[in-house]
Amino acid sequence: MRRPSFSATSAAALSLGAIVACSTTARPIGEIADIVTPPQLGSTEQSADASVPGASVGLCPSNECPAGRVTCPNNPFPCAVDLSSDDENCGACGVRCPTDSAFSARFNGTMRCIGGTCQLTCTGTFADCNGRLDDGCEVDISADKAHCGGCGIVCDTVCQYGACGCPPGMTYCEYDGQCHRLTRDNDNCGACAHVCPPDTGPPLPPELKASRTCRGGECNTLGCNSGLGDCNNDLLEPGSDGCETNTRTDPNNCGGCGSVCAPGEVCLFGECKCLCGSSCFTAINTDPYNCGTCGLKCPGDWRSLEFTNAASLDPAHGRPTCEQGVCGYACSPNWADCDGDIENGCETDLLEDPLNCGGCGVRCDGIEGHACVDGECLMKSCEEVK
Amino acid sequence: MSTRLKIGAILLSTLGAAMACASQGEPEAVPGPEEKLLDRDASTDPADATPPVDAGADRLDAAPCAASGLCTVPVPIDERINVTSVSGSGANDVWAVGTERTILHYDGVAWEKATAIEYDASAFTMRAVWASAPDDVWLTDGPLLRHTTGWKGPNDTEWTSAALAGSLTVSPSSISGKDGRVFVGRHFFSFRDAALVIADGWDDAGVRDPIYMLNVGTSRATSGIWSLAATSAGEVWITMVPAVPNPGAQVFRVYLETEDAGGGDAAVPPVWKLEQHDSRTPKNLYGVWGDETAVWMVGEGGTIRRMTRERVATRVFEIVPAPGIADLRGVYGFAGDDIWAVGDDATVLHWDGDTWTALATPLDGMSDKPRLFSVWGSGPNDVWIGGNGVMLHYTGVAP
Repeated sequence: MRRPSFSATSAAALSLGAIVACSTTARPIGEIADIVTPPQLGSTEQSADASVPGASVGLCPSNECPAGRVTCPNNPFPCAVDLSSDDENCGACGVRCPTDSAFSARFNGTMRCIGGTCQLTCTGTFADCNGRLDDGCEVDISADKAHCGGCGIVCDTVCQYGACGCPPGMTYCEYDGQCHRLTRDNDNCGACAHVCPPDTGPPLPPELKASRTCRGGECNTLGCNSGLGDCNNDLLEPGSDGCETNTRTDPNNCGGCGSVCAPGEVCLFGECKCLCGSSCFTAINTDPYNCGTCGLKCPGDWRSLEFTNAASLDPAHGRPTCEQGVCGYACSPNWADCDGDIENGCETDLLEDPLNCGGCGVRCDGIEGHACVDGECLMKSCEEVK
Repeated sequence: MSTRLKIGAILLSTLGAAMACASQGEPEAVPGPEEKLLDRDASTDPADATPPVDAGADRLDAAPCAASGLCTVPVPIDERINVTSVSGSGANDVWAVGTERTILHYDGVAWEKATAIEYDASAFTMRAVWASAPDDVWLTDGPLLRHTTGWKGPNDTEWTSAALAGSLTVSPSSISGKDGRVFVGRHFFSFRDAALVIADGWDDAGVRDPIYMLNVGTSRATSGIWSLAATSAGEVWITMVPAVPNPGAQVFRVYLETEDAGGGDAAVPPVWKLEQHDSRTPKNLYGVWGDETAVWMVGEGGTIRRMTRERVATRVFEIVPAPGIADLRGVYGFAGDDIWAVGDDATVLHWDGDTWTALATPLDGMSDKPRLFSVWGSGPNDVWIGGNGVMLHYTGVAP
């Protein structure tokens, strides 16, 4: 499927239609290439040959760039450059805002052309809190106590995941400035810095797969080793089979005894999961990784979903889709898959390409250098052109 | 509802404006070279011309039949269901499957929807159905294959199931067969799984004598079989889609070295051979159909390829021009001059032996034309086409 912005396409179509209808010239503007030949209607040549008697104002093809647009040597299309926002031609032709990965790695950001000047844009969780360009985006606000979640937000304890304080279930200990889970930490059992004494109880047979450690904030408490459970509750009885249940894989005791997975789910690493992941019951009709069935990853160019980088957030100009359980491919606004090959995504810029201006195969060839601007073949009144 | 690029829409709008201004008359209908209904009515006739895109036509308002003879027929589904596969054993025993484990059956009078097979799992999209006879119907259901010995109504049709060997996430994607032999194509997560399974039918224990072809596809380069079609009990043609991000769709022919191996010495197992063929395109090929004379493949961007029997030794497909650029999803035929292909934007194409022609459909006036996924017929005048919430029928009769 080819799906650029409907508005752009429609605008182009309507515009071209109006031009053909009202131009005093017989020359069809926005000629459709011979890639589509619907049987119901006549050809564009036939239609465009019709002149409109009485029309007094005509539009003629133009290669004069409109205000704000220029033609730059590094862009293949005429009048395609907007110096106010073009990262490759920012303020003037050839002035490039650095967007490469090396720049991004060094400064934790990228430069974008905004208002005709290159301006720093931070990536990920980084921020430019000191306003200095030479150190880029110097702060990771996800972990910086002085800038936690935003510049100038100061934490008393720790900053984790952009929020002050410890995650749920953990406690901040001043002695080492770290968060600890006091319920099962042998070095902080029940309280910060409370180290459990050595276990002096009778040795446990290894086949029980059990140990005495900090559990529930109590030192040397008998319990199962990590990932196991005593689901038949016989650990303390003679002849016990110990911690017989693998709670990481048992769908009837997943993550803990008695925790039963839903039908169709499996237990992976102690969590109930569908074979397709969480999509199984909620998104099997929409998940392009599991489209209609587990593991069916829709074909096409996935770079915009999986391999984004600072240089381009949408390198494929489109993305695989799953629509009602069947794969498709959706183009980003103003881009189209005119070559019919989704392995290279939506490769055609409908706003600038004079061979695909506003739609695949819509050519701007009324004059040498005829430009496509904003998805429309550039036109001016014939008086102006003369 | 998603917005779709309409090349046709551009043309229609542009041409619509142009035609509105043209005072020297309407474009003339161009008669086809033959008097067959298909070709004649696919040509331009202003009276039958597709209404403007902004007419707001939708599926319910559309006329049931187009001039080509293609008609929409009532089917108990809506646009939430994609009919992904159609097959049957005859005009009065037609099956269709699709989204949300939808199973449909046509008995010659009306389509009915079967009660879903009880299964504690996701609402999988059934990708394929194949019927060799009224009592031998196969379909895919997530990781499973299902089989029935016949339609007994929406609530009483009985299904047995089978799981083929492989990892839990390998899923059957396509089924085709001939003369007692059945070929099952599969998607997979793991390249260690067999993409192609060859069986001798279905019995009480499930799939009979499955052979797992591990060498179909080149290891990690593909994610499995997208479509396949048997041309005989000893030959199947396969299209595979690339594994992301590996480029390059692949096409294979799998065949028995001696076609009569099944009837010969039982002690000698059949030897299946594998050939990779050059489709002369990197584009994905979503549909395949063939008979003893030729194999057709269709796919992205209106791609159409043909392999005639005399060219098989070259292993290079022939490029056949197509009249459009919509992605094609399914292909089916009856003879060398009677092949159908269907695809996105309600595209229906017909091959008359010389050229492919786009046919008018009752869906042409819609602002968001549905995708069509599958075409099958019991004969030249009984052709079914399934798509997004729609079923088209061609009976060779003008409206």
